[in-house]
Amino acid sequence: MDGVRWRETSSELADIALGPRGRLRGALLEDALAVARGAGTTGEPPDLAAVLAAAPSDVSEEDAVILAQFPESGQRLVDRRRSLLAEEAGETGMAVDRGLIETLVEVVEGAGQSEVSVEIGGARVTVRPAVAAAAAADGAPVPMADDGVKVTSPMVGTFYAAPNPDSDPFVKVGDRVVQGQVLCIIEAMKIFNEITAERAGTIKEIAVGNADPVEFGQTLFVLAP
Amino acid sequence: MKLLVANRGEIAVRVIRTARELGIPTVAVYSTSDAQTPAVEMADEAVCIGPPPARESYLDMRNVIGAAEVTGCDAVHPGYGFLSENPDFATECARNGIRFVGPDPGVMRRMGDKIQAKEAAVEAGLPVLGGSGGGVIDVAAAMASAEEAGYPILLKASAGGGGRGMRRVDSPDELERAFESASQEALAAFGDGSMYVEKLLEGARHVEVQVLADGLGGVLIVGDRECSIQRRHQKVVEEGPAPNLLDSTREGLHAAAERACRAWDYKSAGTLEFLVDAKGDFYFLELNARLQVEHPVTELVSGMDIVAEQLRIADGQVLSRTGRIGPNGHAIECRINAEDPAFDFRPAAGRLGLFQLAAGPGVRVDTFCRTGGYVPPYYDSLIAKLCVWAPDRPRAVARMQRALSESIVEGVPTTLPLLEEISREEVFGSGSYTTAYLTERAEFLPSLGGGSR
Repeated sequence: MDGVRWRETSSELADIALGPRGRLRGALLEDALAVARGAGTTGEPPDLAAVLAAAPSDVSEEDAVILAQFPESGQRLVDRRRSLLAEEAGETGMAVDRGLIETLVEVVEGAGQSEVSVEIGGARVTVRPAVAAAAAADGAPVPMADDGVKVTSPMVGTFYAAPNPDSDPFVKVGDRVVQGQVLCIIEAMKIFNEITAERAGTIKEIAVGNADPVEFGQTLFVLAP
Repeated sequence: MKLLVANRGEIAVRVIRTARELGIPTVAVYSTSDAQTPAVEMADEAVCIGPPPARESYLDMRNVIGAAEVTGCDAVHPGYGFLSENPDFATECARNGIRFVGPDPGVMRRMGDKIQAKEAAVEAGLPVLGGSGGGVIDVAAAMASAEEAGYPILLKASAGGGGRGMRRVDSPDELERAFESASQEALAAFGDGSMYVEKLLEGARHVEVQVLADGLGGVLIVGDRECSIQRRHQKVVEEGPAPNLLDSTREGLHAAAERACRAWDYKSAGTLEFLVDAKGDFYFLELNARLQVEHPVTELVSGMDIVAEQLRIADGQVLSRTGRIGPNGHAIECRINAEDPAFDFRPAAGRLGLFQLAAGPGVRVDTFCRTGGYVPPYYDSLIAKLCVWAPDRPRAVARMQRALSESIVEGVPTTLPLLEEISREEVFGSGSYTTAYLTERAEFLPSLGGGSR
């Protein structure tokens, strides 16, 4: 885990406990205050890479940070958010019956299935163990025959593989990326737009060269799951 | 110059044609549903700028300007519709070192607001219809203005266009409801519910004047057009020069248009719309600060290439000629729309079967369609403009009848049957029709549900 993030989180919590962020509604336990009065940091930051490796493949970096800090309550929070997201996808995209998803979850857990996919009214619902539900609708990454997923450009502009001319590219072929990780920059009208991974995977191919012009819908990367 | 054409359909084809004749390299932009259209094939390069919905492609300034940047274009022609009258787009182009082929943003902003445009017209000494002058803040104010102007009146939205946010009001007791519904409609359509009151002129004609101005002191009055044949404020047939216009009225219209161009420091192509009453008095309605759909009518009788002049002006050159052009012959434009007459002319999309429009002497066709092509449901229903030219109006009408009878469009319903019926109407033949024409004649036109004469 990134040490800066760890220190910032710790010192923010200390600020909340000790007052600079305003008064709390109730009194804190003495030992909590004692920890807060300490240097502000406690212990060593957990290893984010290890947490990520243990988590399901589509856990975002943001969620991994939560899981690293609060293994138990964090898991509940992440699960809850996923089920809300899945519900929302069902509501805004296609009508996906929640009851049906719950049944699918039972099937997967009960029968020891690794994964179950069904199509309901044009929406594809995939259920995997430890994952509440993931609804795939239009606009989701485009699956390819050989299990690669195309990452396409959402806009018109100039493709940049690195944050600036002197630095290393964001990603190289063979890199493992997490959901939400920056893959490249597309510049249009002097604005640098970061393009992030919609899901985790391994970079199989980089389809455009640095500083190439790209158009809407053009393939930028191919991700292997 | 390298030109990006920020539009689709027939107008993209139209602009690319002139650019090619002038040796100017072009870049077409297209949404995913327009990938296989002639504009994409005719342009030197083409860039996909988004999915079918216009706000994510043709209206997305970032993608349009981004396409100009990555292809090295230094000029953008916006066509009509989409971003053509958006002053923010013109400003963004300038900020990114791209010439916008059109007027300066300040004029566009002022003319886009109907209340401000009317004020500007009064300042330039143009006659305007009576009414509230400025905006009316509520029903009471509208009532007072309406009393002063005299019923019937039109309630109009300041941001309006295409008949939206507009209501005819015949008596005071209708006013409150009309005000509320028109204002709501304008707010929903344009994000601006401000209204104004204008005297309704019945039995008037819609006559417009095509201008070109180079911003360097040169103004050209290219000609006038008659556009009274309208269905729900949408033009169906246009012709030029306007028939049966008194010499004094024509002279007055042209002089007023020139005065306005100079008073407003106008630049590029524009059209001043007027209402002309039975006595020949005229009133300024609005300025369309862009190339218009019906510009070919004036090109046919003036011999000018209006797009070529727009490109010259954007390049900082003076107009190739100034003053006024006396019309040579007569031209008529028929708008062929993919619309279903059996269902109140609702837009119809789909795959075209045989698509074969007229050709031969004096016929000009502007279209992006071809046999087997696709008319997407996302955009305007105009699929072709069939224009005819002849040395005089009677021969132009005969040519229009001939050209329409030769034209075949299969696969989607179109307005061709209505156009043919109009071309054979006595009232149309006489050239003395008003904006009430289609409403009055509907019962006699089979494609509008009427019986034959």
